[in-house]
Amino acid sequence: MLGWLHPSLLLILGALLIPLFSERGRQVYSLALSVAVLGLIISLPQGTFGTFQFLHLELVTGRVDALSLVFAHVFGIMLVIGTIYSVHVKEPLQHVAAYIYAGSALGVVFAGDLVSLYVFWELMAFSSVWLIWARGDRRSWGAGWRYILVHGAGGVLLLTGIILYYVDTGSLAFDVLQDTGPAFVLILLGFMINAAVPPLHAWLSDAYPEATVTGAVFLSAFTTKTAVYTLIRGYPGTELLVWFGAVMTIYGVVYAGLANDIRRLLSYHIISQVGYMVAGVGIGTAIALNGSASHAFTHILYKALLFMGAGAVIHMTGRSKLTELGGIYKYMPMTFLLYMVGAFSISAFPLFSGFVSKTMVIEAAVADGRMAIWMMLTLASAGTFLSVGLKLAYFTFLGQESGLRPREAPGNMLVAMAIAAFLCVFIGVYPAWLYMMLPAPVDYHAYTAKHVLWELQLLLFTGLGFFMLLKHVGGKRKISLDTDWVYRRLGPMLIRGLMIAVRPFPTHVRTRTLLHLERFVDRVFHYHGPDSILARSHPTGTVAFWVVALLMVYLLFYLIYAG
Amino acid sequence: MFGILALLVVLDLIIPAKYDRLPWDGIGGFGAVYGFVSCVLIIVVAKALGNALLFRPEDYYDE
Repeated sequence: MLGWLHPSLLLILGALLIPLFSERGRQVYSLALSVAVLGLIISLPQGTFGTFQFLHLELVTGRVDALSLVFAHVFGIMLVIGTIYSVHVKEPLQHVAAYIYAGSALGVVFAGDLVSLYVFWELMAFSSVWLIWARGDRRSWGAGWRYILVHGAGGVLLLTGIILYYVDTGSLAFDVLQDTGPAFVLILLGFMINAAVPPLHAWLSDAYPEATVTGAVFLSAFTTKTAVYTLIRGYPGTELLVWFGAVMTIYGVVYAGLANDIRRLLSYHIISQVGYMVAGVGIGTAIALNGSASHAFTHILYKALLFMGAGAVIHMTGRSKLTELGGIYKYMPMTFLLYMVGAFSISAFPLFSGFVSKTMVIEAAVADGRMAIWMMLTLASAGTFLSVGLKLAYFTFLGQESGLRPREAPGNMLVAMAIAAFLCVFIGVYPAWLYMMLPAPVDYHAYTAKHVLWELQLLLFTGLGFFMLLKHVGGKRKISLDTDWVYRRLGPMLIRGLMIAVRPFPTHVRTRTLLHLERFVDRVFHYHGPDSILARSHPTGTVAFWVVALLMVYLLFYLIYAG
Repeated sequence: MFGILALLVVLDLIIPAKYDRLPWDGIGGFGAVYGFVSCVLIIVVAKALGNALLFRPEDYYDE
């Protein structure tokens, strides 16, 4: 159709022009571009657009329906908020990266086939990593590499799955995926890595706290929620996800209880909150999927608000640890208040946004007769308020005087936070606005007397527990091991161990062994490489090839990085 | 503050339950108990895990 403009195209091409502008011009241009993209998304008619032939494949870049629009809307809103929050940042690189990243997230959400999905999926990873590296210190450099390696591995799983799926079914359409065995599982694994489902989650809590102040705000919004979208679209009713999701909610909460870095604490709460969405996808009923989609919508806004608040504190004080902060509410009262709106929203206080979305997932669990899941999700609800609403708020803004005298956050940051805060309250007070966007008609009323009473009891008695144990809940000057230990410690340790183990052998033995290894790799390539005998009939060749290639990249990386 | 906590529980005891889907739907004040127990449980479990297994010095990964 003529006149149909893909929001991703506008945003990504528009992003490439950013370096051409002067500082002032860039600010105006960025704002105009972000608002134009949001306007374009709002004005999109439903239907199928942007289809074209590539090789023999029919690609659909613009599938616009209720589900894709829920996510696109909140992505668009987030784009504008993130732009305002980061408008003072001088390096064009960060702006370009953030816009390409947001544009590719929109690309995934509108992709009607698995190939265009995959292209945007990879673009997301490779653009977003610059938001981590832009911090410019040694830790962010390492965290960025680990981030891109994990997403690279996820991308390979996804691509392999897509190829196998095409061979099995002859279709590349991205709808509810048929369970065809390996393909089904591989694509699911690719999605689960981006959704940060434990034990595949550590890239998130490792990298987000090392990103730039503004970069983390963008990061918190797009990657995991794009993955939630793909799960809702492709894997509704997959029983396994119910349990993974429920465990996720608690996993994140427990690790947040151990965190000292404020953005690491919030990162673990992304994992916890995405757990509700993943569980909803697994339950798979209309109300559960509505719950997942609506919770993604509210989550993006309140989580961005929390990251903006934490970011403002880091921006103004230069510190990010609970043990080094405290008592700054007097100097940053607006930041404190706006942060608390986000904290009440994520904790699902009545009149705040989380209440109208999270309880929908929990209601779906009850309606489906899942008592154990209900108990896990509710336990995690208490834990959410405990660490975001109480622990972080208390030890950052209240609590012991740290001697810090920061100024209030800059105006653009406050405006961005205020917009997000307004939407959090608006949705909490007037949920119909959100509900009417959802894919299925909503027959759910959050505001019954019993419901409100239940939630208030749960949260306020959590508060009671917190203040009773106040001496034991503060941050510790420690880090906590997580599954990233496997590739940060165990991997390098094994390689170093291997190097030490081979040292006693004479040189000619080592050379011979290497030769054998080389021959083995050659053989793998010969039989399984892209041009090999086996690959002609079956794409497993490509699989083996990429797996071997990936392993070699890993090895090289560690040899350089650990050496 | 304690007044508000008590009021919530009393209200919950007075207002009859709307549902009978979960075993504790009829028990007034159960939300309070669940919230308090959850909070303490999470703090204790996290602490225990941290001290016994997970905590490392801050420069653990720095060479």
